[in-house]
Amino acid sequence: MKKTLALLLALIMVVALFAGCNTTTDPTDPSTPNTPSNPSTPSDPNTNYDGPYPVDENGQFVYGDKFKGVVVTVAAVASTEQDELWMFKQIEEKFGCDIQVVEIEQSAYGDKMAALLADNNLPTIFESFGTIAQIVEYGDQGAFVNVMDEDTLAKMPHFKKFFVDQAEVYEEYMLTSSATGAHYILPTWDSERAVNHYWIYNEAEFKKAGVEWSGDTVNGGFLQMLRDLKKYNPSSYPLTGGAWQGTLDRMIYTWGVNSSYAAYDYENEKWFYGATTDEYYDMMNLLLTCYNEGLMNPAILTQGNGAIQDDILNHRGYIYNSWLGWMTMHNAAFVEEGVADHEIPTPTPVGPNGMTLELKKFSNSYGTVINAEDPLAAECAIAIMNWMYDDSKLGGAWANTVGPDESLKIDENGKYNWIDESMPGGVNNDINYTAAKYGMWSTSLTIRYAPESPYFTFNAEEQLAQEIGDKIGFFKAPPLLAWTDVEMADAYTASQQDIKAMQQKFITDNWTKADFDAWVEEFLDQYGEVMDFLNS
Amino acid sequence: MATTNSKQDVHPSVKANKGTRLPNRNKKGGTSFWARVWAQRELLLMVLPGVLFWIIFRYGPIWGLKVAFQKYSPFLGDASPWVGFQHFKRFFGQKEFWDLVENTVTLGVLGFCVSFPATIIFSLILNEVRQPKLKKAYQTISYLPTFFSIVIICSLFRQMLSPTTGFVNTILGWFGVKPIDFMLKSEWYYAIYIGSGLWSGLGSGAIIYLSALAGVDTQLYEAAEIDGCSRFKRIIHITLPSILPTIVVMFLLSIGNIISVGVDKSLLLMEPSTYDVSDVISTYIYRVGVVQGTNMSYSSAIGFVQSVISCILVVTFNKIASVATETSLW
Repeated sequence: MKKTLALLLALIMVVALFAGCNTTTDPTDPSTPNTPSNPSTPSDPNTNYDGPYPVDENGQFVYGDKFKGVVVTVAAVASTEQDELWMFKQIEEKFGCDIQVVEIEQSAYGDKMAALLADNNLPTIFESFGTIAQIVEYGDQGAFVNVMDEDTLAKMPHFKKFFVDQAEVYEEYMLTSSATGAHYILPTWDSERAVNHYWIYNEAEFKKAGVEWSGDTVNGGFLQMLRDLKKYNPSSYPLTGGAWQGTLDRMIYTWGVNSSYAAYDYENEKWFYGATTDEYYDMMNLLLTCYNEGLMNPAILTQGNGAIQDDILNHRGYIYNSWLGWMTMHNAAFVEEGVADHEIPTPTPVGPNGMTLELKKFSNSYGTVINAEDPLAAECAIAIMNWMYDDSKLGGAWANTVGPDESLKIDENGKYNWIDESMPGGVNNDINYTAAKYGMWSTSLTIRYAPESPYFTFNAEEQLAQEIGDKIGFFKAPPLLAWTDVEMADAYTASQQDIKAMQQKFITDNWTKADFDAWVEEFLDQYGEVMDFLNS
Repeated sequence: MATTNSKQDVHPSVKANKGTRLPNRNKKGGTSFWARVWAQRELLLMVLPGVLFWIIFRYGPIWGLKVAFQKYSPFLGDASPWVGFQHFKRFFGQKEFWDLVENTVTLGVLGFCVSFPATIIFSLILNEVRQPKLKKAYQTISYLPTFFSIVIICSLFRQMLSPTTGFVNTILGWFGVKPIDFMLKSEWYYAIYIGSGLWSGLGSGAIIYLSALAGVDTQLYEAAEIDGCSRFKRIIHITLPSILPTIVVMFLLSIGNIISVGVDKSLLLMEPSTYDVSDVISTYIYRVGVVQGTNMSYSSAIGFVQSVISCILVVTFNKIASVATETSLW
């Protein structure tokens, strides 16, 4: 009996050991080979065709049954089942393919994609990760679709009109092409509002405290305002925020430097480290003063955006620089609380020149990539992505960023809004709402925002931020960097770490000008060659 | 003429295996290999899953180390070009190489020097508790943190040490001390890293020593007590020597992990201002292997270096242990 039990146990353990090693034939697993039901596979000589697809009366490509049953896997940053949602059904109806969504948590996107890459098991359509140099390297090995290939361009007229036909855009786009002139990235085109992040303040609390807004850091108006708020509520930290490095990277623009790291002087056509300038010292010194006088929440040096929520909703913080969406969320929470608090954009940003971040129309090193492993699936993906660049009413950009007709409501200004009866006013223009409900805004597929999208239907506060930004003007961002030299890339990465360390130590170790200058000297001694390389 | 079935001729393994049939004899009169295998088939089957596990998941992947000598691309597979020691040269040539090694060794050695004796001392103290219920209570309480994930432990420490809401700074405030941002100060990093590890690992580490202590003959204690030995002397002269083999084995098993300071805890506790002490080889591997692009070859090469160092440490100390104490892993 004992022997039988022992044998049984041993057998169970062996089976369990191998259970994790089995190859799944689950069709939803992206490792399942693509087996289209259409017998006309790319290897079939009968499916040749010479040029772009036929077009219908609306100028849309007609694909017929070419992609019928073709399995196309799409990586989506989501934590819920996406396959059955409206947007993916639209794609399946239009192209006849079978879309299978690979859902990945946002925080683990890079890690998960790295694991899929190591397994040579990438989805057909995915948002790029890692460095552009690596995308180019693998693309040159045949892993990804070369979007600059003549045949591919012929099948992607909507992509071509943005990135090839506009000479200036083409020039910047091709800065990150491979040595052979190939490119593998499909960037998002013109998806930004004029202003996405801004200084936000709690106007209602300011009124209660009898304090006027001031972003004047030259004559001390900003500091005095914070001190007055501290007097109003001694247990508060008037200046709050989140993502310390991100906040500093946005603030430095108003001091006339366009990056904490590799900044560019357009006048002298020279690269330099933004964090080594006197302007950077001035900005850090201001924040150090705020920290020492208890005007700034110390937690923002380490916490992400948690400090913003905590401080604002508990009436312990009144000013921050962050994404405009926080304003909308906080105001909604205040209404629910029945409190008459109200957040709006500050009339002027904090800093000497008042300018804010220029938002570039596209990135030449980040976007969607098409896996070339399965030629038919790749061709279907090319067709899908071409459609996603089309912002007409029949286009994918419209479907993905405006949505189904039944979800829309036109306001008195003729702007589209998404209907949500649970929200005040019966509308909800938060993209997360339509993402969850209709499967819209999937990161790999969102490469063009239709101008009519409710995303651009600003509420009063957001509209105010756009207008303030437009009025004051934007500081030109530095050109995008794409490292090809491995040693320099390593050195630049190490220098960025050093700068991030300085951004915290300056505050916690109470640096003086002498400390900062000593750090600059040592830093440039170690990493100055990186800027010399860029300037050569 | 001696019979083949005499007790003197029976193989020892067969004697131990009650009820097993006598194995077949070969021409020389001994038992054949396959006969012995058949005789011990149940035992061999029981050990088979473990052996298969080691072959498949420990020895099999060793072949993948070739990636460290290639410029590996998952799309080229075996056709990836060979680059020899290029990745190793790149790693050793990094500006931060010595900082990484220093931080890794310091954290590893300090952690070992604190937690290893602390676990032994704790189990000795626990063993001296006379009331069984109290002993069990202490053991349970000390073991509970083992069930917390690293993420929870690090979050707990961050909350406890927060300059605004943490209770440590609150208590310091009662004594007029200005809030200290512990997580941002390099000088506190080692204490936080090792302290959190000690808090979470003390209970689970003590279990092994407690089970060894349970095997110590109580008559030795009684004899020592009769001879007038104090409690402390009994610990030094009876308890410690009795569990010395266990201590040596645990020491050897731990020494190989000194260089493998974990990436998860380091990532959760490190801040940019503590990079000078918190950035270790594991976090560097994560950074270059995942965050900055999937550089599998380079990160494999660094991992290989780590494994070689760990192997050298284990082999060296095993030899020292076998000479000094006659106890060793092999």
